[in-house]
Amino acid sequence: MAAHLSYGRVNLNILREAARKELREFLDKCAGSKAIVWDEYLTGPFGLIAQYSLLKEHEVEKMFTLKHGRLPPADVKNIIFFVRPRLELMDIIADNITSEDRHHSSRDFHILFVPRRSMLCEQRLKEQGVLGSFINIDEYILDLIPYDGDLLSMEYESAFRECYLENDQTSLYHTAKGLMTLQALYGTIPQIYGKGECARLVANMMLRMKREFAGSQNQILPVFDTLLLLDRNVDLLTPLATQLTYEGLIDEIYGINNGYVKLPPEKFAQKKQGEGSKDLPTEPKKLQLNSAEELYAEIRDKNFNAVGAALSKKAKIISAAFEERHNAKTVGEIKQFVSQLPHMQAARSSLANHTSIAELIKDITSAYIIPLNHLSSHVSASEAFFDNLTVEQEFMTGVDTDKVNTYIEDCIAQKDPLIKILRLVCMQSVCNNGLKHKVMDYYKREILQTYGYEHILTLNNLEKAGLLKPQTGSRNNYPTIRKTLKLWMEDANEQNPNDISYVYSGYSPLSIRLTQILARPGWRSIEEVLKMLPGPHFEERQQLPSGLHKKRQQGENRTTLVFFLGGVTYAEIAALRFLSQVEDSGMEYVIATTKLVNGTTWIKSLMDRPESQTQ
Amino acid sequence: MLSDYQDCVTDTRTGGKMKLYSLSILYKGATKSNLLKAAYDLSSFSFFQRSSIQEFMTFTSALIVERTSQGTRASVKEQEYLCHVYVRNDNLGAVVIADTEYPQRVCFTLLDKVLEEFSRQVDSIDWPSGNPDTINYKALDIHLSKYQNPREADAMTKVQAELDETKIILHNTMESLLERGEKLDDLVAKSEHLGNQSKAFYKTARKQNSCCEIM
Repeated sequence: MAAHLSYGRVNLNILREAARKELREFLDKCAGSKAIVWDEYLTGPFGLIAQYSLLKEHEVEKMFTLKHGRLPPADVKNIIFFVRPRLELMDIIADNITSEDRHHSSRDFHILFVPRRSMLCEQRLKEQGVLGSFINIDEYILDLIPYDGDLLSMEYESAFRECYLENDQTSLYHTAKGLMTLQALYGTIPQIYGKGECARLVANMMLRMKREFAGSQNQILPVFDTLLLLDRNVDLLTPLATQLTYEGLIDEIYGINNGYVKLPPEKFAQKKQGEGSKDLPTEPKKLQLNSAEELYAEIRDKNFNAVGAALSKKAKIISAAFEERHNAKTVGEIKQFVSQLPHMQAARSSLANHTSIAELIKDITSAYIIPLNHLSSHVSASEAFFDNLTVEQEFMTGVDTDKVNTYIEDCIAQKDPLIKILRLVCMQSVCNNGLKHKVMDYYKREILQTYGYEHILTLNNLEKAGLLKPQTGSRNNYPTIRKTLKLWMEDANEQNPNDISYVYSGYSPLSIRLTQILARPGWRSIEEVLKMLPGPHFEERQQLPSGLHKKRQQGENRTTLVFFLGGVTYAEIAALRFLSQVEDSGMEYVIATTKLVNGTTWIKSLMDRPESQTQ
Repeated sequence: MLSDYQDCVTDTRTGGKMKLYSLSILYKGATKSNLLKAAYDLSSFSFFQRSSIQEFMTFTSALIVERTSQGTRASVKEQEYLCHVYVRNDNLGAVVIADTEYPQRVCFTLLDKVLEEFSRQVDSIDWPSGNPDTINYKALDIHLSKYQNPREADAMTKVQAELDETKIILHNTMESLLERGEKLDDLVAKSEHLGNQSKAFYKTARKQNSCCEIM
């Protein structure tokens, strides 16, 4: 039982337990002592399903990373390869097998493909002459992984790229499969809504897959009332904007991977009393971030400007609790206080960590940089973070989106990180429905000349994905969309929000607005706007066996699973959680996605360098 | 309150305070009381004072028994001494003279114990007319000596004292445990600072979109 999965309307522990059970069964199939050789990419997601302790229970004695050459020595009966179905990994495995000294060891080999077997890979192994060496070849279907009580992700990094650049629908197939697994455990979802080409495809696959299982009726009472499938390209703007929630900023600045973040260690070094200043730790501080940590659950979705006040309040509460020890007189009272100590220590430790993280973030959001502008002779200071934010907000409100932006020019001149430039330039393009030729050419030239011509591939990719494209002559619909859906809310309340726009301090994510309107009053009220957004929108119903239709109690909330095809940001997740909490919304949301992204990782997945073909 | 206990604990360790000076068994007669047996510990007094102090204590013990009714326990302060007396219903009585630090409850336990033992060993017929030379009871000195250390002698005191010590150790352990980790005061200050001077993220767009939005 994972603690962080227990807080939520839908018990995602069931999904996790099902995954653990399958893993156990496979491990037991390879009887005897074992060593696992890991495809490194898988260690992260697997960590969310099973810790080493579970593996140890099934006689896993050693674990190694997959790499060329000879396998490390290990006195085990079985060697199991846990790998993705990728050709280059097959070559490494073949290398391992052929390097094996047959005379000294007689170990059994097995492969576990995650998430699917692949004939192509098995063919490759055959070509390498090692296919016969494996006793068990199986697949471990790991599609949707629970990240938190209301969050599932496939951690399929290349989904957006495959769908929108390469016309490859593999990720959509996996999505449909994942949804079928979900329905097997949580009941058939009676209503499916969607917007986008990929959404349509996924829904079709689901319906077809359901027909294939026509014989067996799913008797489980449905937990989800509605499924909403959304293409990422329906809302290209949101991932480009800098997130302003606490969790969003942690991801933007430091990157959250598989629920962990690595932070610079300086602020976490404890000053021990009486000792001289020790050497500062050099290892980055690794912290787990999920809702099992009470304080984190409280502040993660807040706008960062509201975090200080929340931490301050918590500090006072914890401080008062610790002072209570002076009131403990009898042994009984002291005993009671002591029994509370572990919980209080944990709370204090949590407070210390997040105070440090908040300080780190504050340093960045109020950082000053002093650029030496080669066009001018004097030095000017600027608030880097705020300047960037200003330009974003200007674009979002439609200010001067048709001209070359001077801030972007300056940043290129200073050779700021390329992805920062790309995010801004794409945002301008999206908010202007494409850039005027003159503007487009100017940016392209400046970027290629400053950062290198190899990036021409990236620029092509961005154009293909619709992020950075030339104006086609059709009218810019964005202002209409913005006004109709109220995407820009003046005077956003960061401390006590009353609207989802607080996550970007004024801009409400288009994707979430659509979700909000679907629940109430429904998409019929925005037919015109929906037509301006790419891809079809649709509604499907799935038959439930008679007797399973839920009788809704008075005041009981409905549950919607919102599936983002191509990536979702933490700010959008925060916005959905906000909607779940709103008094009379009558709706609770569970979020699923192909990948958790931020603007940087998202753009990165679209970048291409000619020499990096093997990545 | 904690400081009281701290004082007590210090005492038994250094043996500075909590002293018993005399332990006497008397018979309460109709008009006067007579001494049956007595034990004294006058080691804390100077050599030359001892005999007069002993006289004083003997006299005081008898006086107290005369003035105490049957079936009564009492504690009387006399100068810097505390005299604890128990007179039983059968007129057998005992007096222990202690300093003000010595726990009262232990004294009464001692008196009960001694009287009970005495009444078993010495026939009641001998009580009204007995004196220290004729009475055959030898344990008084031993009792007086043993009870100089109330903790060791008295099980209950021992447990209570241990409890008190445990409390102190607990308290100190707690304090040291709480010392580890970030100081809460620091955290309160840091988080307050974070909350202050937060520039709002909105309204950074200096320019307003003034022109029409058609094109």
